[in-house]
Amino acid sequence: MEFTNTFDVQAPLQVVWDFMVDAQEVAPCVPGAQITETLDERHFKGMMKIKLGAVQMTYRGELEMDPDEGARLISLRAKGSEVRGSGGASGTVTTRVTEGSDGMTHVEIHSKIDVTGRVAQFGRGIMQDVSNRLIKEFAKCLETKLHDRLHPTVPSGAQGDVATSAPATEAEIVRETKPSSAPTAPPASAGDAEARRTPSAVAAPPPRTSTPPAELRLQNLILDITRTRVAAGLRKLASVIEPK
Amino acid sequence: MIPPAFDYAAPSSVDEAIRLLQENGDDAKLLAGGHSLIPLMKLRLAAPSFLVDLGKISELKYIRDQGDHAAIGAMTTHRTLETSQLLRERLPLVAQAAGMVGDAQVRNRGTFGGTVAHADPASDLPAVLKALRGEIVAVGPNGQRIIAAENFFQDIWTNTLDANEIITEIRVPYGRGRPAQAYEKFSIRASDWALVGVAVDVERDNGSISRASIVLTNVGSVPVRASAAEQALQGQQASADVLHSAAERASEGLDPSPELKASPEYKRHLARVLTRRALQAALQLG
Repeated sequence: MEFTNTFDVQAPLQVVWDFMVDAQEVAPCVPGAQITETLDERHFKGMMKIKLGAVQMTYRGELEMDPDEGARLISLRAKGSEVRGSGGASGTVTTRVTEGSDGMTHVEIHSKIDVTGRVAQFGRGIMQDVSNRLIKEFAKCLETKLHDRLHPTVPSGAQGDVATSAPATEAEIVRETKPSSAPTAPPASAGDAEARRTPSAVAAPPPRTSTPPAELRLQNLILDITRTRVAAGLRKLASVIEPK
Repeated sequence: MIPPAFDYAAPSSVDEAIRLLQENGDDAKLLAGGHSLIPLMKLRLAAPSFLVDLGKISELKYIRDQGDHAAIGAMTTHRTLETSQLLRERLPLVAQAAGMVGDAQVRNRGTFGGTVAHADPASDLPAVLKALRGEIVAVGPNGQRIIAAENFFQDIWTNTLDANEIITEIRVPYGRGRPAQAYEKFSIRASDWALVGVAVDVERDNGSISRASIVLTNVGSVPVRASAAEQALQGQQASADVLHSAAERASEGLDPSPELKASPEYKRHLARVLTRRALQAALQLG
């Protein structure tokens, strides 16, 4: 099975590239996947769980990331076998980063996936559907993460987010949306963050490119996790409330 | 392969079944006819540790005429649907499609509630239920609720039931006037899943089509409504030409996944051809 997904992001190419080569950044975007062991900078062991109604498939395997900085190409090779079965899956996901128009960066993800084993016995497009969806969600997640990374604003619009009308810093929003589970940012960086963010903490702040990446990363990671959890929780709640 | 070991109970009431589901949590699964679940378990794609067999709950097997709709007990077998006089007269789409599911053994065991709950986009009856705008009655720890078929199928093998909810009844409304309905199914081997299937229900008002419902099997992760084709029929006089041009639009908006025996283009082609045949059969027009 082969798929191609593309997206554009308002960001310099180098920033996008740096993000894409960081497995720890990219892995959370693969639905149901987790890195279990880091063998070295480029090699990882991981697991991937796919759940469809009563059907659950878990793959365990290895992942190799091969960035070609000259060609702006990242090859991700993964190979795994079913935990509870004799089938397997292998795939190569090639990400190409190019300059788009108007300062945008164009990302193209080409995936080639092969699945063997029990699901293939069905002879129907199930694995195609699943793989297609996984890659789509992966691309979307990367896009969202990159966008949030580069434009840290008062979160709004995304599913399940609580819109705040009063200007607020990111750290505050983190506490507001899910006080029990979100770790509060360390005081030093929160203070700095607040000072730095105040000028931009209005409804539509301009894109910020001067913030040091390390600072940005922590804040956004926390926000990211919180948002994902809140969104998931609210989605679940919605399906209960709204049976129609 | 054989399924992994599991525990089993056969309650005699819906309440008891719900209690068993609650007690055993996520790993419990309902067993109806078993001809979707057991094959999955044999392939070890699903491995519930506890099966709650609904087979002993006799109150779930019935077909009742409720005036404006048929109320069908969830455990009614396809064979019963196929041979029901009431359905053949008032809802021939259900009787016909039920008679095309799998083979005789499957039809003797498989149930309406089971196949709907299983939510396989390649199953025939979910598309039929969606085409007829049916409703699903679900009972759970918090009582009973009704879910429209339109909102029931969420994804492959995924429905919008809550954990611990059981389908007890499926309601299928009668249309106005004499039913003009048909199901077309194309598969390579007999008793296979449809490569593509089309369920059609057309309501007429003095020769012109007041409402057309066309839903496709196995072209997506849920049964898919062919909206463009439906709109092309709306308000038109039911004639062969109108059917032909409407059927040409059946593949609009479809994004079928390829499979072993059918490319996406072939599935789109089948959608158009089978929609035409189903409309012709339903309206008895050449």
